[in-house]
This record gives sequence, structure tokens and C-alpha cells, in this order.
Amino acid sequence: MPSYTTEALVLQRRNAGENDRILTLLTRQHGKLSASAKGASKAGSRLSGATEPFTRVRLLLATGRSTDIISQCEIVRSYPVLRTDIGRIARASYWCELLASLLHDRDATETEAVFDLAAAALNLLEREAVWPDAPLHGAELRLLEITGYAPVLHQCAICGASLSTEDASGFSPALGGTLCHTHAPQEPGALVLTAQCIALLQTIETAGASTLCSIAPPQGVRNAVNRALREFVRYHLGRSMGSADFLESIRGTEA
Amino acid sequence: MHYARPLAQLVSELERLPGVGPKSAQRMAFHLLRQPQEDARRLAEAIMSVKESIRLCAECSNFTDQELCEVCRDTRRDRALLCVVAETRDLIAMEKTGEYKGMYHVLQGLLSPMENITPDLLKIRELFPRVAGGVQEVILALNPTAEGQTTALYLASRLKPLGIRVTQIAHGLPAGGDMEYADQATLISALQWRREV
Ligand SMILES: [Zn+2]
Ligand SMILES: [Zn+2]
Repeated sequence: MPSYTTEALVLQRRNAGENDRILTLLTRQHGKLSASAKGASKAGSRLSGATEPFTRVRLLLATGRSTDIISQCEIVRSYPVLRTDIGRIARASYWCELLASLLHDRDATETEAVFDLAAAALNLLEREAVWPDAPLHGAELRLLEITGYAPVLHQCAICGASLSTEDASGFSPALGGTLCHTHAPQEPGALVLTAQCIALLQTIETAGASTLCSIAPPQGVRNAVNRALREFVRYHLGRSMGSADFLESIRGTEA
Repeated sequence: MHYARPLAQLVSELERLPGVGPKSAQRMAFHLLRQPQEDARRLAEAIMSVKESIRLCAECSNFTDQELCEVCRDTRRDRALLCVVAETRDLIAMEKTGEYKGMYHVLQGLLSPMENITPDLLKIRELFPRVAGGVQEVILALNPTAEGQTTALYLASRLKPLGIRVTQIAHGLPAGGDMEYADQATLISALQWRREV
């Protein structure tokens, strides 16, 4: 059986049969793919720790008929801080499910950029942030951009008029982003978004790590931005992600 | 060539059992077929009897054939200690250590946001009235997996504001492992070295 080595992030895992696990991996060279970890559920399996979600691993994979099989595995990073706080683990789950949902199997487009973004985001989620959703949204907007789903944030998605800070007033997931004050009231599915919210989205879109960790917007603005991006992702996936609903319930207790 | 209909149906039912692939399902089906009528009937009756008589303990959600399970009926146990486990088999693993004398709460699963296993699908709501009734310490004995840790952190975030001491067993267990498979010495030391969440 031909085999290959790759670095990967474990996004999801499910048990298969009594002893095996099927992993959804994001690899640096081959994009997202499924691989089988034989015997990973057995007591004392060398594979068990390396098959946990939010773990960065180096793998030797054997090419299988339907799914590739993990023959060797080494943990590069296990992101222990993510596992110490309900907000962090909920955001890491959201991030991994988003990657697993948005990316196509073995799509090699910009796979290194996606992998590096995915790993950098997990690093960032381990850091202290005033508003922990800012680093998450930063990564999310960057991923949407790479995958071709980036929301329009600087013009009206209907008329293309450039938005000055005073007249921004709507956001439509279906139309792809922000709407001007003329078009926002005409669009039934549009969310109301204040100029402050849109300015925040624009900041998050381009901000670096230290800015993302120090942004401290008022609660109402946070809620509106969370909702806009949540609706936007839901619209593009055509479904609501389980981890998005869970994260939303955790946010309710953080406020 | 296809199996006769009843045989095909048995194979497909067996295949749905955890850990049973098509080959073992076939082997089991042929084994049952060769067995005396009486043996097959006993198996069928055991299955039906479990379905009819086993229910969840009204107190702790452990499997039982009575209103309250054996642990909850035992008046000598320490009602100030409450150990939260995912499954009945984890409760049994803890009981085998012979070290723990408190009560249990069986969640009947672990949170898995990505698989849509949310708090309302587990026996989490049922935990709070029990904790309010004089429990001093909640010990979380959940697998050291992403799901186990999500559940532990979720429960800690809900219980600690109520002024309850919440501890987690020190997993000498390897990450990604399963409590059920831990040897007793490991579980005993995991229980002794529990730490605050
Ligand atoms: Zn417009
Ligand atoms: Zn009970």
C-alpha cells in the first residue's frame, strides 16, 4: 500500500465499530480528508490521544480503498489551554466544525493557507482575549475569504454604493453582506446593523492577533456582530451547526 | 444467491449492533439457526425482559429494574458526595474500586456540540435539584476526551455559581482514553488525586 506523511489537525472524530475511529482531518498538503484510526478506542492504544479533536499531529497515512488508514502518528501540539475553559472549548468546537463544514474533501486550493490559518486560530483561542469572539470572528472572516464566501462589508450589496460610517444600516446573509440605509429597509431578510457594528466587522476583517485580543466593544455590539456572522454562515451552509447553537448558549452565560 | 427472507432480516438486525460487521452478523445468525429452539427462545426472552423491566433510576438515572437503583436504595452511602458519570458502565467501574461511598448521577451520555448532542438530551437538568438537596461536593468522573472535557467544563460552569465544590478526577488515564478500560489502581488514584475544576 502506498503511504505518505502529512501534518494535520484533527477536526472531528467518530467511533466506528467497537475499536476504530474515523477522523476528519485538515491536512497541510491534501486539504480536508477522512482517515481511519484502527484500534484507537482500545485501552492503551497509541492512537487514542492523537485522535482527539483540536490536536495537531504528524501522520503516516496508508492509501486505502475508500478511506486512508493512519499507520503512525505523533502529537505536535495538543492545545491544553483550550481544554480548561468552557468558552474556549466551545469556540474551538465551533472553529473545527466550521472548517469541516465549509471545506470540500481533498480540495487542494490554498490548502497550506487554510491549514496555517486553522492552526493559528487554535493558538489564538488559547490566548487571553477581552472579547473571546473577536479572534474567532477574525479567523472566520479570513476562512470565508479563502473559500470564496467573504461577506461584503464596505459597500451596499445591492447598489454597490460605498458605505460611509453614518449610513450603514443593514446586513443580509442572502445578498452577501452590508446594505446601505436606502436598501436595508427594503430587504425583508436583512438584519439591522448599526454603523458601529459594521465598523467593528471591518476592523475584525483586517486586524492582527494583538488587536483581536484587545478589542472591547459594548455588549449590544458584540451580540449584533455574533448574530450577523452566525446567520451568514447558516445561510451559506444551508443548516445550523450544532456547535454554533452550543456556543450561543455559552455566550449567554458569559455576558 | 440471497438468504431466505427471515434469515436476511436477522442478519440485518444483528448488523445494527455496535461492533458487529456483516461477517460476524452472518456467523451469529447461522449459529442461532443451528441452536436448539429453547436456547434461541431464552435469548429472545432475555432481550424482551430487559426492554420491559429495565428503566432509569428516578433519582440518579442509572439503569435499574426498580424505582430506585441499588446505590440510591443504600442508606449507608454518603449523600454529601455526588459523582457524575456518563454511563452506567462507568458507575460500575467506579464501584469495582470499592473506594467510593458517595452517590452517583448518570448523565446517559456526553455533550458533543458538533454532533448536536446538547445539554437537554442528557440527564443534566435532573442534576440541579439533587445538588440543591445537601450535596457538598460534585466529583466529575468523565472520560478524558473532548466530549468528556466539554461536559465537565459545562457542568462546572453551571454548578460553581451555586457555591458547590466541583472536582474532577485526576486522569492518570491517557487523553482520548475510556474510563471503563482503566484498571482499578488507576481509577483509585484518579479519585484520590481529584482536583478543583
Ligand atoms: Zn444600496
Ligand atoms: Zn439511582
